[in-house]
This record gives sequence, structure tokens and C-alpha cells, in this order.
Amino acid sequence: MVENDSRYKSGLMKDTYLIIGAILLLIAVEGYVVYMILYYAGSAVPSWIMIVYLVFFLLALGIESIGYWQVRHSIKQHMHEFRYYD
Amino acid sequence: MTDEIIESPGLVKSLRPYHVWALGVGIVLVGEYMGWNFTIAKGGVLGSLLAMLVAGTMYIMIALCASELGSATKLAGGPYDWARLFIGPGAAASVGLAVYMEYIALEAADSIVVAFLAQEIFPELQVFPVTLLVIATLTFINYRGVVAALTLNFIMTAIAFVAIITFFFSGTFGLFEMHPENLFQGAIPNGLIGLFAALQFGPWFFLGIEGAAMCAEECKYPSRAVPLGQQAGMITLLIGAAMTLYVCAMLIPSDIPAQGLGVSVYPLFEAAQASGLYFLIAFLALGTLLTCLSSANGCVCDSSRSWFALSRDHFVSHWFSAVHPKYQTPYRAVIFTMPIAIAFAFSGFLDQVITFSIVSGLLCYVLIPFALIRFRKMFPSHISTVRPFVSPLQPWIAWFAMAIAITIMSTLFWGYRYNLLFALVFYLVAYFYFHNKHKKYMKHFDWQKEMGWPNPSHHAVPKE
Repeated sequence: MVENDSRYKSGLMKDTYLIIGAILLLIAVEGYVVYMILYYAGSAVPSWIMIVYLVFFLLALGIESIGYWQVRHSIKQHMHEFRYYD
Repeated sequence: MTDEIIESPGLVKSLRPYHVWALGVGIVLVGEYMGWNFTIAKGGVLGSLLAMLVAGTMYIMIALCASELGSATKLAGGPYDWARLFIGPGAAASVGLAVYMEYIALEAADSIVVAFLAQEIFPELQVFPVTLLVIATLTFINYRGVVAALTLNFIMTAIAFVAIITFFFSGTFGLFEMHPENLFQGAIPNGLIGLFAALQFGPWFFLGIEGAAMCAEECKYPSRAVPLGQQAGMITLLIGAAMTLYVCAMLIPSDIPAQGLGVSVYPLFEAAQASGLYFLIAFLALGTLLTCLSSANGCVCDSSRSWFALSRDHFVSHWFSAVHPKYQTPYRAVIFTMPIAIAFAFSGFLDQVITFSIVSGLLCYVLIPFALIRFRKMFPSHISTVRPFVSPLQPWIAWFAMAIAITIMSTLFWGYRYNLLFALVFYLVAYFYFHNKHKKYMKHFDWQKEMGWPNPSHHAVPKE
């Protein structure tokens, strides 16, 4: 039973690290690329269009981060019921 | 045909989250090695960035819908089965055919590109026999077993993705010279209308990621593997798309739309050549080859599952629904992909076929979120047997995804109006034909027996 618990804790931790790592990498890379392109090329378009870029940038990162964190929540909730790590 | 084969136990359940990742990313990553750069030809660097962000947002929302639907239904047909269960038989057949066309056209295109690459390396080779060999080999691998096919995809996709990462960080950390002036000079060559026009090629960055959920029936733990693998795949593609756009736009000029990055056949490979570093040139050449193979391989897997699901429900001949007694694969549906892919490859209208594939994909992106909205209405309670993964912010993101998909589809009217009209007529005819043929089927659907679910809310039973 104790061995089973530790296996489940370890399995969930690995999934959590994967999820957090992926989200952080996404924010870092996407943020860097969008910032660099708009820094060098943004002056070619009217400033109001920059808001469109900002809105979709925030939507993409926000929804994906919430969605992937929800995956972790779902795994934690059902891992014993569906025996994910047996 | 024997009854033992038809009544055989079903598809093998052995896939893990990394197989789901490999299936999704394997199909799509080719779009980051080639094809995405048409956004540059239409809208310059800023048009491409906008297309990437808008299409990326749409695909994130669709992938979340697909994760919820895939982990709930656990069926091989993916979008077809979701439409069948929650919308109706007409929509189901249209989506099933759309998925089949989308992937099999892509398989044909990928195989031809592999043959051209092989000919560039070994000029004595001819394109026709190499294309046949690629299609036949991948069909055989998929015939032998889904685990072997997707493990191969995992290895090829991982190498191709590492090539992009290595290229990006090599440039960022100064291993070769970047040219930021290219970003400004090629920012917006066709004016503001170009930003809007670029949207029609935005799906190239992510086209097909919804297919990751189509292996749900073959997963060991689908309620963990599908959302974990598919969302990891979505993040991989977002990162890959951003890195690809950045390094290519820095290294290849795009100030004249008819030249440079906008019309490049292999943009990542050409960007690597512009870097002047031999190991990057070799690595990106290998990545281009592997990503075409993994895309074609994943397409055989997904298109055969869609055909298998259509056959299992008698939308097409039931003969195709046989499962191999030893390998536990839908082997007749797998083998049937081969003549169709060959016919597409040598039709001489491959560009038209690819456009038809994109329109088919966009049709799916309208119907997948709609299926989720119906699913939520029919089964509102979040019990684990029905909905083990609850995607967030629903139904708002489903409606928003549909709005973006329709907007992108409308941009195809400029330049591809006949393809768009032909595809819409084709699917409309399919809708009414299959709706009339199969409407009795849904009225007698036993949710408890077929899905192990309670009956749906009375106010939202499919009307078809």
C-alpha cells in the first residue's frame, strides 16, 4: 500500500514537472519571439494593431496554461480510480 | 472474410501519452518545415506572426475540445465519432469523410516530398517508384501494429523537433549571424490587407493536431494519455512555430513577396543554408526528411481509423471494419489507404487536393467545438465515467474557436473560391445523403450499452 502510494506520488510529480516545464518554456519562447518581432517590425503598422497581437498572444498563452493545468487536476482526481500508474 | 476476424476482440490498448504526442506532432510538424511560409508571401513577417497567433489560439481551443471529447468517448473515429454521438449521422459522415480526405491527401503530398528529397540526394532515383515505395512501406508498418508505427513516429518527430530547437538556440546564442533588418524590411509588403490574407495559411503551423485524439481507443489509459499527450503536442507546435518563424524571418529576406522566404520550398533547410554552419544544414535536412515520413506515417494511422469507424457503423462497406486477429489493427482499412493515396499522388492536381484537405480540416474545426457544445448540453454532469477530463472555459472557447474557423475559411474565398465552393457542395451532399440513410440509427442508440453512460438530458437528444 505504501509502495503503491509512493509510486502514485512519484508518477503525479513527473506529470506535474512535465506540465510546469512545458508551460514555462512556452511562455519564455513565445514571449521572446513575439517581443523581438514586434520590437524590430512593429513600427511598420499603426499602433492600434499592436493591441490585436497582444490580445491573441495573451489568449493563446492564457488558455493553454489554464488548459494544461486542468489536465494535471484531472490526473490527480482520477489517478486511483483509473489506476494510471499501476 | 471470416466471422472470426469481424468479431475479433478489437483494437489493442497499449498506447502511452508519448505515442499520442508522436501521432499529433508527427503529422503536423511537417507544416513548420514547409508550407507555413505562404503566410509570409501574403502578409510579410507581421502577417505571418498574426496568422500564427490567431491560428494558434484556435487550435489550442480545438485541442482542448478534442481532449475532452476523446478522453470521454475513447473511440477510434475521433471527430467522426463525436459528430455521430452528439450531432447526428449526416454531420458524422461529412466529418468522417473530411478527416479521411484531409489526412490521405497529406500522406500523398508527404510521400512525394520524400521522393523529391531522395532524388536530390541520389539523382539517379526516380520520383514515381520512390513515392510508391514510401506509401507501401508505411502502410506495411501500420498493418503490423500501431505501437511499432507510433514508436517510430516518436523517434522521427523527436529528432525533427530537436533540430528546430538546436537551430533556434544556435542563432539566439550567436553561433551564426542573425539579420534583424530582415524583420523590418519584410514586415508588411502587401499593406494591411495582407495581414488578413495571411490568415488562410495560418493553419499550416498546426493542421492535424486534433488527430492526436484519434488513437484514444488504442490507449492504455485514454483519460490520462489523450489530454496529457495532446496538450504537450499543442505546446510543442506553438514553440516550434515561434522558433521557425523567428529564425527563418531573420535569415531569409522577405521584402519582395514573389521571392525569398514567401516562396521557399524548404524554408527551414534554406535558412540553415543561410546560417553557413554545416552541422545545422545536415541536421535540418535530416529533420525535413524525417518530418515528412512521420507525417505520412501518422496520416496512414489516422485516415485508416476514420475509415474503420465509418465502416464499423455501416456508413461505408462493413468489410473494412475487420480487425487483424494477430496484430489487432484495422488492417483492411489500413491497406485501403494505399490505393487512394497513390491515386491522389499521381492525379496531377496535388495543389488542389491539398487545398481540399485544408477546407476539410476547417470544416472539422467548426464541427468539433459544436460537438462539444452538444456533448455538454446532453450530459451536463461531470461524472468521471462520462467526462474524465473537463476542459476549462467552456462553452465560450468552443464558440470562439468556431468563429475563428469560419473567419479563416472565409479568407479562402480570395484565391481558392472554386475549391471552397466545391468542398462545401461535396460535404453538403454527403450530409443529406447520409442523414436520410442513417437517421433511424440514432433514434435507437442505447447509451448504456454502447458507451456505458446514462441516458442524455431529454431536451438535447440529437434531432436528426
